[in-house]
Amino acid sequence: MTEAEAIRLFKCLADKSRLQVLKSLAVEDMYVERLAERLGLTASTISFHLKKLSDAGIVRAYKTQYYMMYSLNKEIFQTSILEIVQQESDEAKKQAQRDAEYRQRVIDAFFQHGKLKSIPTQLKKERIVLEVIAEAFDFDRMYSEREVNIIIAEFHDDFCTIRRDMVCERLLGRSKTGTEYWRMKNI
Amino acid sequence: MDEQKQKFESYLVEQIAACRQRSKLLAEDGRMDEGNFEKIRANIYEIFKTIFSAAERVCGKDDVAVRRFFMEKVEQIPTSWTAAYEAAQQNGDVERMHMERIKLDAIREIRYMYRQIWGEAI
Repeated sequence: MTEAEAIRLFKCLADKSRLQVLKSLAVEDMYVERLAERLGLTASTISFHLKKLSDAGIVRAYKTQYYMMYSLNKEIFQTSILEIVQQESDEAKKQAQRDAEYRQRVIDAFFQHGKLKSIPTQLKKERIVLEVIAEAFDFDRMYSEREVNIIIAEFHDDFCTIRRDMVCERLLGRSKTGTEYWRMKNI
Repeated sequence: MDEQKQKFESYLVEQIAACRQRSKLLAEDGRMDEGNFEKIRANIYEIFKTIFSAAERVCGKDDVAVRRFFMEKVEQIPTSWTAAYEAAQQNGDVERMHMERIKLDAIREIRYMYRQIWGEAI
């Protein structure tokens, strides 16, 4: 189900009269006049609601000898809300682009000629800055504390704070003895 | 005539108030679309109340002219609604059909009340 379909579905369901129509159709298939009589609405109003429900794929219509009958599309109700929420957003690309643009703005603001001007106070921004510094470390290699300090000092004088924060942010791993460091993956 | 005019105007005012009240209650009851239909209905009564006032302003004390002015509008305005209804019907646009029907139903009720009050057909 696409996001547009999910929105249409939820909008459609968020109406008491349409919910009453669905409850009636859950009992048995019905035609417009029967629903109108049952729910105390005009046939025209029922047709309006049925059209919306049909467009959202919630009900189906089929012809019998005398009437156009309406039935519930039970398949749609087998989709869980969690499944809908977990589907990739139609806007995923846009969101990723916005994230990338934000990241670049932070980098441009805090780095000058490859040096960190100051350590951001906002965690979100500090995380981005630390990720940039982490790129100076190779994967699958062990570093002594001194080596770590030298690498970080290339960016900023306060290598102690940055080293500690990189460990906290799980960008760098640290041995129990505190003598060896390594760049962590998949963060 | 004044009494009839007053009665007709009161009828339109009451209808507007009733539609708005129903609209509010329907919205509170989680029936937004039907609440909006009542707003459409209220707008129709509002339009014809305005037209009736305009007729009185334009035609002054000439009661026959007031009624003729109003009747012309009652005939003229719904023609576009009828056309829209028929176009929607041809295209199977149930939603549009329903909205046009609401307007046409409202004007039918206005015509009916007019006949009740003045005893003549529009």
